[in-house]
Amino acid sequence: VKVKVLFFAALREQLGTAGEEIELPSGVGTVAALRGHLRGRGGAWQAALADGKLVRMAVNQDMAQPSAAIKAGDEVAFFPPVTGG
Amino acid sequence: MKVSVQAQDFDAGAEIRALSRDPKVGAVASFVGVVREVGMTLEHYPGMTERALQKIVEEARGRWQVLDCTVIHRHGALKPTDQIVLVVVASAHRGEERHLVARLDRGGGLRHVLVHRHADQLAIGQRQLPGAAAAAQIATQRRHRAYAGGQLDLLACSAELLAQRGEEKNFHLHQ
Repeated sequence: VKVKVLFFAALREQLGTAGEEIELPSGVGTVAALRGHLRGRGGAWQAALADGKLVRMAVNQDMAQPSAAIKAGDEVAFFPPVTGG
Repeated sequence: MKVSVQAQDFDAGAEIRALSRDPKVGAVASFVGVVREVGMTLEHYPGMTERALQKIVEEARGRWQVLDCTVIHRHGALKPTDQIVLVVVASAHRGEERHLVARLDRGGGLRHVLVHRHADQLAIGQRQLPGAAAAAQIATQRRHRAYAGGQLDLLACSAELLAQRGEEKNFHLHQ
């Protein structure tokens, strides 16, 4: 199962990538599980996607809860919280 | 209805005139957001930003009698005094359009997808929102209260954003 993953703003800078296509291991069926899977890469991934970090997620360009399901061909985006003035 | 997310500046006067041409239009309200005190760089998620703005516009059209509207949000590097967002709403009757202007600027959807990349100065951190999730919740609650007949909520939103508080109050009373 392949999905497209995108990273924005500070996350993109920390991870050094704007996104990639990844093959989901079996058992990774939600946004939260995907985040955990990426965190497992260690290093910057572990730091940027750590549990305590506020990260917003979207599936196919709609904001999504961590429990949201993902399926083949989905576009999953990660970005930091927003500031405003 | 026009929704645009763009790097280039906009001409508010031209956009307002463009919405005033229809002889059915009785009022045009506008809101211009300006970068205050510190510069910022906004990046966005192409596609999602436009959809989120479109959704807010659709929702507003379902609730108020809107003849036409224009929403322009800029992205990229912006410095203090730069224009950042424009909302223009045309309505047949005075009053309707003001609420939409307030809603569009308040809409959680908009803030969700605009990502603050880096502040030119630390000061911007002090203005940080409670987080997009919280902002979304606030937006949802506001909406629910509005549906329950909570005109006060709308009133507060509008008054906060638009200078002419007296007119807002009058509108509220007339309703």
